[in-house]
Amino acid sequence: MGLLLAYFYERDQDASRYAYYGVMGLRHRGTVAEAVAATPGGGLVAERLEPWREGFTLPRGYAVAAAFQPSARLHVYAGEAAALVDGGCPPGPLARAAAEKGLREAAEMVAGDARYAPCAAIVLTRSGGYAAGRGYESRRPLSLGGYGFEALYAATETAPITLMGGRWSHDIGAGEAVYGDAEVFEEVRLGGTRRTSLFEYIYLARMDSFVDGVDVYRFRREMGARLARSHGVEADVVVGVPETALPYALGYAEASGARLELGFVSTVGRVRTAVAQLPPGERARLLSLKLNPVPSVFEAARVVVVDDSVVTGLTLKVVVQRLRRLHGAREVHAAVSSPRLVRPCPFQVQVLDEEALVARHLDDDEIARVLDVDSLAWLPLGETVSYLSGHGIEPCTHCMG
Amino acid sequence: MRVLLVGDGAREHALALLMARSSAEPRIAALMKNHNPGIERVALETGGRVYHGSPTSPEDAVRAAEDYGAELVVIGPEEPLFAGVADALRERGFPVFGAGKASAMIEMDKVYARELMWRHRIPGRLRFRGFSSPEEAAEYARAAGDVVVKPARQAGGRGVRVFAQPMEHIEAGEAAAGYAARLAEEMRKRYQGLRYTVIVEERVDGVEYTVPVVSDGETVVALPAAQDNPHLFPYDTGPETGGMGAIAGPAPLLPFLEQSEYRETLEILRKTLEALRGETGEPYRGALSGQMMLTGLWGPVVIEYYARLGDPETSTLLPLVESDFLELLDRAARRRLAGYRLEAREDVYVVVKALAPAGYPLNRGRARGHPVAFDVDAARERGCELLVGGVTRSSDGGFVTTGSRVAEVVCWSSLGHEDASRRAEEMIASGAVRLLDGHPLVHRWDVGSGEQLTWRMRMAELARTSYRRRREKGLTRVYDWVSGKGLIVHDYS
Repeated sequence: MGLLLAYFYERDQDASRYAYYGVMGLRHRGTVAEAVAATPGGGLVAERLEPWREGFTLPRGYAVAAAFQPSARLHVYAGEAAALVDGGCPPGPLARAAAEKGLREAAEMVAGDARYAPCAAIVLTRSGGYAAGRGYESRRPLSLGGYGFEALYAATETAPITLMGGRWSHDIGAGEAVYGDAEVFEEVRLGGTRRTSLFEYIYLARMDSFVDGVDVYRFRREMGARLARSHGVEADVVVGVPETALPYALGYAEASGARLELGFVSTVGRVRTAVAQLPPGERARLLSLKLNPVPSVFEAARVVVVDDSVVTGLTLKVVVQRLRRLHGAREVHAAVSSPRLVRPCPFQVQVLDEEALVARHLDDDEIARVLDVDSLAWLPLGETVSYLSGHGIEPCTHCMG
Repeated sequence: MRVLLVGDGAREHALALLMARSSAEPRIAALMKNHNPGIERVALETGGRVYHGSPTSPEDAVRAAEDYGAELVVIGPEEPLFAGVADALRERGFPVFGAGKASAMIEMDKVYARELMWRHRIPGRLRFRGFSSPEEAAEYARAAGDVVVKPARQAGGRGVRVFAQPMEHIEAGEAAAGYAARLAEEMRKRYQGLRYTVIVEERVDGVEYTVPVVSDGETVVALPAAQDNPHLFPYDTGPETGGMGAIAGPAPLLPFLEQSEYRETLEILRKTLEALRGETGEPYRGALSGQMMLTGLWGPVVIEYYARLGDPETSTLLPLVESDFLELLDRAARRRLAGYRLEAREDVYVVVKALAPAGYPLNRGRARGHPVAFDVDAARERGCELLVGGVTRSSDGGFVTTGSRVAEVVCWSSLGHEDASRRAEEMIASGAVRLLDGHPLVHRWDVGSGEQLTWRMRMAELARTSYRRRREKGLTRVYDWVSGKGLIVHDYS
């Protein structure tokens, strides 16, 4: 669900030392990744890695690239070229084009070929070239940056670039690709539409990142405010479900005039329950450990619980039950800081089961009854679209409705 | 007036063109190692000539000046200054525009420059340590956090590496340390008798810019600010170069530089010249440029000094300067600068783009020896100027690349930098500079673009917010606490 590149111009440098922090900066996106390194001896070494595992390692070389599953995949063609593609497009043809025809053709393929239209891609070749680009209707963002005079960085969002000590300096546009090596830097600009996944802004990206030029934290605060205005309930207290919903809760509280409280304490650190692929029993156990309520916040209060997304509704249902049963909340209103999730993503940006999407099967009254809340509001889709179009993005909203 | 110009790069081509406009009707001769056809053309058009020799050799320079009967000698690059070319010429009685060897230490020896700034409490300082031994440099770099490791001697603007936390601190601290040791070793081999080989400085972030001044030892004349782009590739990526492009204007400022910041920078340069005068005892006759960074720490901070005009910054002066530029250089050389007023156009936006053969700067062997062709007249027809740089004559009478930047394209517009940048791109696309064997040329299409200016302005605004707050609160000190050593105070006042 994300890509990373750390490319050092001098071959005595070990990019894996830096990429390590970049991978940590992307691991909120998934538990399994594939990485490839270009070695000074002129080879490509690929490895699978689990970035949540203690002491994970990356292959060593002057250039390292990584792809987070499931939406991003790596393919190495005949030991000559590696393609890492995000957005569900097949990496094979791109790797082959880079190996057989060269970097320029590979860059043009990413930027202009219909097979890569929704995707973003990174290419590394055995001889030391790289390419990074986005399709002409790209759903998948990719930003560039530099590390001093030593390295070129690329990543799906900007926080990993910063974490690798670099400075973000450009967002690759739709139908745009760059390629080069230590000696040249070229660009292909075929034009296109930035169809960057709305899900990035809503949920996937870190709030300390920019995605395709948009400040994620600001987006979330502003959407929280707009959610409050469309919800229009009277409440005493606003709480956010950690971590992703917190900036929305902040914006919600500011706009509604209700006070923001810190409502939950986690016992298991910052685990993203939606990203961790777990059996249902394990998920429920993790949820109760992650969301232990602070009792006095809820007592006799009219509470708005802001949650970042509702898939099955289980998280919210567990929370609401507890607040009512154990903590004496007077009213509990649910404000979901995402539009309704109604379809799986054809680009594999989320891999939710169609059958599990509660918003696909029930109307709002029914969902409110299931969750046992006094009211239910979703972030209006139109608000997200109008905000992002103000930044030159026509977001992909395929999974939402 | 008979003028001898020392140097053979694009900066000297720009200086030749600037001087040639003078009402003093100069006849310009040039002392060159590489046979630069751009400079040669100006020399011939003005009725001057070319001397072949080494610009860094005092003997060659004196011989050429005597033979030519030079009434003024103008030195472009830094290496001749370090080698004492200006001193040797002055001893023979020639008026020289170019700092003496002792003054040029401000550029050559980075540790000397920093020490001078601290000794005289010149604003815009950074914390630093100089090292002569690889082991000591490594030991310090290992524990210093966010640092910049540089050669302690001017080395063509290269060899600078920045190291950031957290990586460097935790494990790749070995990287900063390893590099510091390697660089120290390399510098020791390359240059004899260095006091220090490596300098480690605190790392700062912000927007870079250059402000040059001309001095006669007493009077200081300010030139317009410019911004150099040291990265080889667009979006400020790529290896460090001598400069791949510059923007300037509307003079004397830049879109991201405010009047007060420009004035403070001039003040820094004035104080530096005073301090140098006090320490060397000689009047500074030449150009001093502050390669600056607008930082959140103290506002304008000196990254390094140039004891000369910058390249490609000098090229931005071509469309900006309206006054008699030769008169400026001549009066500085003769210590009669008082009363000179520099007129610069305030309605012009300038963009300079350098072109380099692929391979520059990391694999110069691959950048060298490619046959090259120019179309200077086509450039002028488009309202631009083409300056020839790292080019020399080959054995068959054609021209080949020397491995450095080949040429600079200078375009300007009253509409804005974007328009000037677009014109420069058109000119480059039209093949005004071509390598005849098809070897690729590298240039930066982002210099002067709207995207670049927006980024720079944003960074400058961030720095401004931070340094102004410090000033409002009267903060001039930085405190470190080291366990076992206690509180360490760094007083920047």
